[in-house]
Amino acid sequence: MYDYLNHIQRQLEQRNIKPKLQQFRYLLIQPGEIYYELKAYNELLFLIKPDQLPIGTRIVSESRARVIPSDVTQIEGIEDYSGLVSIKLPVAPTEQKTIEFIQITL
Amino acid sequence: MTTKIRYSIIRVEVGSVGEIVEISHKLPAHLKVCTGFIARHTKGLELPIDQPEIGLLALEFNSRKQLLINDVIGYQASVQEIPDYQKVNIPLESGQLVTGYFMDTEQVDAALFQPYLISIYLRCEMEVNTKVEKCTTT
Repeated sequence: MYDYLNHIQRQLEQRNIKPKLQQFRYLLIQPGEIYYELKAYNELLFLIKPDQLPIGTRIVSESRARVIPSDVTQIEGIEDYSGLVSIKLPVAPTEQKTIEFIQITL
Repeated sequence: MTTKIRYSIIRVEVGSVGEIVEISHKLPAHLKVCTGFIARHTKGLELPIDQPEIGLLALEFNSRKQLLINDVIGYQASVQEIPDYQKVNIPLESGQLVTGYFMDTEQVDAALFQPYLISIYLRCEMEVNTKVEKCTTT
Protein backbone atom coordinates (compact mmCIF):
# COMPACT_ATOMS: atom_id res chain seq x y z
CA MET A 1 0.00 0.00 0.00
CA TYR A 2 1.27 3.45 -0.90
CA ASP A 3 0.87 5.39 2.31
CA TYR A 4 2.26 8.69 3.51
CA LEU A 5 5.28 7.14 5.23
CA ASN A 6 6.22 5.48 1.98
CA HIS A 7 5.75 8.74 0.12
CA ILE A 8 7.91 10.68 2.57
CA GLN A 9 10.61 8.05 2.47
CA ARG A 10 10.76 8.26 -1.31
CA GLN A 11 10.83 12.03 -1.24
CA LEU A 12 13.80 12.00 1.11
CA GLU A 13 15.64 9.48 -1.01
CA GLN A 14 15.01 11.41 -4.21
CA ARG A 15 16.29 14.59 -2.63
CA ASN A 16 19.35 12.91 -1.07
CA ILE A 17 18.22 13.80 2.44
CA LYS A 18 19.46 11.64 5.27
CA PRO A 19 17.38 12.60 8.30
CA LYS A 20 18.94 12.75 11.73
CA LEU A 21 15.56 12.31 13.32
CA GLN A 22 12.08 11.52 12.15
CA GLN A 23 9.17 11.89 14.53
CA PHE A 24 5.60 13.09 14.85
CA ARG A 25 4.92 16.70 15.69
CA TYR A 26 1.52 18.02 16.64
CA LEU A 27 -0.13 21.41 16.44
CA LEU A 28 -3.11 21.98 18.68
CA ILE A 29 -5.73 24.17 17.03
CA GLN A 30 -7.67 26.09 19.67
CA PRO A 31 -11.23 27.35 19.37
CA GLY A 32 -11.35 30.97 18.23
CA GLU A 33 -7.71 31.18 17.07
CA ILE A 34 -6.94 31.42 13.39
CA TYR A 35 -3.19 32.08 13.17
CA TYR A 36 -0.32 29.81 14.13
CA GLU A 37 3.41 29.81 13.59
CA LEU A 38 5.77 26.87 13.74
CA LYS A 39 9.53 27.10 13.65
CA ALA A 40 11.03 24.51 11.35
CA TYR A 41 14.53 25.75 10.72
CA ASN A 42 16.83 23.01 9.45
CA GLU A 43 13.83 20.77 9.39
CA LEU A 44 11.14 19.58 7.07
CA LEU A 45 7.60 19.42 8.34
CA PHE A 46 5.42 17.10 6.32
CA LEU A 47 1.75 17.85 6.75
CA ILE A 48 0.39 14.32 6.62
CA LYS A 49 -3.35 14.78 6.99
CA PRO A 50 -4.21 17.98 5.15
CA ASP A 51 -7.89 17.10 5.15
CA GLN A 52 -7.88 17.82 8.91
CA LEU A 53 -7.52 21.50 8.07
CA PRO A 54 -10.46 23.56 6.85
CA ILE A 55 -10.69 24.33 3.14
CA GLY A 56 -9.01 27.63 2.42
CA THR A 57 -6.34 27.30 5.11
CA ARG A 58 -3.23 29.13 3.97
CA ILE A 59 0.14 27.61 4.84
CA VAL A 60 3.23 29.64 4.01
CA SER A 61 6.84 28.69 4.59
CA GLU A 62 10.21 29.52 3.11
CA SER A 63 10.14 26.58 0.75
CA ARG A 64 6.48 26.09 -0.04
CA ALA A 65 3.14 27.79 0.21
CA ARG A 66 -0.32 26.57 -0.50
CA VAL A 67 -3.99 26.98 0.18
CA ILE A 68 -5.83 23.82 1.15
CA PRO A 69 -8.19 23.14 -1.75
CA SER A 70 -11.67 21.68 -1.52
CA ASP A 71 -10.66 18.40 -3.13
CA VAL A 72 -7.60 17.71 -1.05
CA THR A 73 -6.76 14.09 -0.45
CA GLN A 74 -4.34 12.67 2.06
CA ILE A 75 -1.65 11.54 -0.36
CA GLU A 76 -1.95 14.38 -2.84
CA GLY A 77 -1.94 16.90 -0.01
CA ILE A 78 1.28 15.76 1.63
CA GLU A 79 3.67 18.65 1.40
CA ASP A 80 6.74 19.63 3.31
CA TYR A 81 7.37 23.03 4.80
CA SER A 82 10.50 24.51 6.30
CA GLY A 83 11.76 27.67 7.97
CA LEU A 84 9.09 29.75 9.61
CA VAL A 85 5.78 28.07 8.86
CA SER A 86 2.65 30.18 9.22
CA ILE A 87 -0.81 28.68 9.19
CA LYS A 88 -3.86 30.87 8.78
CA LEU A 89 -7.31 29.35 9.02
CA PRO A 90 -10.13 30.92 6.97
CA VAL A 91 -12.53 30.95 9.92
CA ALA A 92 -12.10 30.56 13.63
CA PRO A 93 -12.64 26.93 14.64
CA THR A 94 -15.29 26.12 17.19
CA GLU A 95 -13.61 23.08 18.64
CA GLN A 96 -10.13 21.90 19.50
CA LYS A 97 -8.31 19.93 16.84
CA THR A 98 -4.88 18.33 16.46
CA ILE A 99 -2.93 18.70 13.24
CA GLU A 100 -0.29 16.08 12.59
CA PHE A 101 3.08 16.57 10.96
CA ILE A 102 6.08 14.37 10.48
CA GLN A 103 9.14 16.28 11.50
CA ILE A 104 12.38 15.52 9.70
CA THR A 105 15.43 16.99 11.38
CA LEU A 106 18.28 17.55 8.95
CA MET B 1 37.82 26.18 -21.89
CA THR B 2 35.27 28.90 -22.47
CA THR B 3 31.91 29.35 -20.85
CA LYS B 4 28.79 30.51 -22.54
CA ILE B 5 25.98 32.27 -20.79
CA ARG B 6 22.39 31.29 -21.33
CA TYR B 7 19.38 33.11 -19.95
CA SER B 8 16.25 31.35 -18.86
CA ILE B 9 13.03 33.23 -18.16
CA ILE B 10 10.31 32.00 -15.87
CA ARG B 11 7.08 33.95 -16.12
CA VAL B 12 4.53 33.95 -13.33
CA GLU B 13 0.99 35.17 -13.90
CA VAL B 14 -0.83 36.43 -10.84
CA GLY B 15 -4.58 36.62 -11.32
CA SER B 16 -6.14 37.17 -7.92
CA VAL B 17 -5.48 38.70 -4.52
CA GLY B 18 -3.23 36.59 -2.36
CA GLU B 19 -2.75 33.99 -5.07
CA ILE B 20 -0.02 31.43 -4.66
CA VAL B 21 1.44 30.47 -8.01
CA GLU B 22 3.50 27.31 -8.08
CA ILE B 23 6.62 27.32 -10.20
CA SER B 24 7.93 24.25 -11.94
CA HIS B 25 10.41 24.94 -14.68
CA LYS B 26 12.82 22.59 -16.34
CA LEU B 27 16.21 23.98 -17.19
CA PRO B 28 18.02 22.71 -20.28
CA ALA B 29 20.26 19.78 -19.48
CA HIS B 30 23.45 21.38 -20.78
CA LEU B 31 23.44 24.17 -18.20
CA LYS B 32 25.98 23.58 -15.47
CA VAL B 33 25.74 26.51 -13.08
CA CYS B 34 23.43 29.42 -12.37
CA THR B 35 25.32 32.60 -11.60
CA GLY B 36 22.63 35.23 -11.25
CA PHE B 37 18.98 36.10 -11.17
CA ILE B 38 16.59 38.99 -11.40
CA ALA B 39 12.97 38.76 -10.35
CA ARG B 40 10.74 41.72 -11.06
CA HIS B 41 7.29 42.89 -12.02
CA THR B 42 7.16 43.21 -15.80
CA LYS B 43 3.55 43.75 -16.78
CA GLY B 44 0.10 44.54 -15.46
CA LEU B 45 0.28 46.79 -12.44
CA GLU B 46 -0.13 50.52 -12.86
CA LEU B 47 0.37 52.09 -9.47
CA PRO B 48 1.23 55.75 -8.85
CA ILE B 49 4.08 55.06 -6.43
CA ASP B 50 6.72 52.42 -5.79
CA GLN B 51 5.78 49.48 -3.61
CA PRO B 52 8.55 47.80 -1.65
CA GLU B 53 6.67 44.52 -1.66
CA ILE B 54 4.02 43.01 -3.89
CA GLY B 55 4.94 39.39 -3.35
CA LEU B 56 7.27 36.74 -2.03
CA LEU B 57 9.34 34.43 -4.17
CA ALA B 58 10.93 31.12 -3.23
CA LEU B 59 12.97 29.04 -5.64
CA GLU B 60 14.44 25.61 -5.17
CA PHE B 61 16.94 24.09 -7.53
CA ASN B 62 17.91 20.59 -8.62
CA SER B 63 14.43 19.13 -8.16
CA ARG B 64 13.87 20.37 -4.62
CA LYS B 65 17.29 19.40 -3.35
CA GLN B 66 18.30 22.97 -2.54
CA LEU B 67 16.27 25.95 -1.44
CA LEU B 68 18.41 28.80 -2.56
CA ILE B 69 16.38 31.89 -3.26
CA ASN B 70 13.92 33.69 -1.02
CA ASP B 71 13.20 37.18 -2.22
CA VAL B 72 10.74 40.01 -1.84
CA ILE B 73 9.45 41.39 -5.13
CA GLY B 74 8.61 45.07 -5.30
CA TYR B 75 7.04 47.41 -7.80
CA GLN B 76 8.69 50.39 -9.47
CA ALA B 77 6.33 53.04 -10.78
CA SER B 78 8.86 54.30 -13.28
CA VAL B 79 11.72 52.06 -14.26
CA GLN B 80 14.86 54.05 -14.92
CA GLU B 81 17.15 51.13 -15.51
CA ILE B 82 17.01 47.37 -15.26
CA PRO B 83 18.62 46.21 -12.00
CA ASP B 84 21.78 44.16 -12.00
CA TYR B 85 21.62 40.43 -11.60
CA GLN B 86 21.86 39.26 -8.02
CA LYS B 87 24.83 36.96 -7.81
CA VAL B 88 24.34 33.32 -6.97
CA ASN B 89 26.44 30.26 -7.52
CA ILE B 90 24.22 27.25 -7.94
CA PRO B 91 25.70 24.11 -9.47
CA LEU B 92 23.06 22.41 -11.57
CA GLU B 93 22.38 18.76 -11.99
CA SER B 94 21.52 17.86 -15.53
CA GLY B 95 17.91 18.37 -16.58
CA GLN B 96 16.47 19.02 -13.15
CA LEU B 97 13.55 21.20 -12.13
CA VAL B 98 13.50 24.68 -10.68
CA THR B 99 10.51 24.75 -8.37
CA GLY B 100 9.01 27.10 -5.85
CA TYR B 101 6.26 29.62 -5.53
CA PHE B 102 5.32 33.25 -5.88
CA MET B 103 2.76 34.56 -3.44
CA ASP B 104 0.95 37.84 -3.92
CA THR B 105 1.12 39.96 -0.76
CA GLU B 106 -0.39 43.14 -2.11
CA GLN B 107 -2.84 44.48 0.43
CA VAL B 108 -5.65 45.60 -1.85
CA ASP B 109 -9.35 44.91 -2.10
CA ALA B 110 -10.29 42.22 -4.58
CA ALA B 111 -12.21 44.82 -6.62
CA LEU B 112 -9.09 46.96 -7.02
CA PHE B 113 -6.76 44.11 -7.87
CA GLN B 114 -4.99 44.20 -11.20
CA PRO B 115 -3.61 40.96 -12.64
CA TYR B 116 0.11 41.17 -13.27
CA LEU B 117 3.14 39.32 -14.49
CA ILE B 118 6.39 38.57 -12.68
CA SER B 119 9.44 37.52 -14.65
CA ILE B 120 12.35 35.64 -13.19
CA TYR B 121 15.51 35.82 -15.26
CA LEU B 122 18.07 33.14 -14.52
CA ARG B 123 21.59 33.61 -15.81
CA CYS B 124 23.22 30.24 -16.22
CA GLU B 125 26.40 29.03 -17.80
CA MET B 126 27.17 26.02 -19.90
CA GLU B 127 30.53 24.45 -20.32
CA VAL B 128 31.55 24.22 -23.90
CA ASN B 129 33.38 21.13 -24.93
CA THR B 130 36.45 22.50 -26.66
CA LYS B 131 37.46 19.16 -28.10
CA VAL B 132 37.18 19.31 -31.82
CA GLU B 133 36.02 16.02 -33.16
CA LYS B 134 37.32 14.81 -36.45
CA CYS B 135 34.99 15.19 -39.32
CA THR B 136 33.90 11.80 -40.54
CA THR B 137 32.44 12.87 -43.82
CA THR B 138 34.47 12.30 -46.95
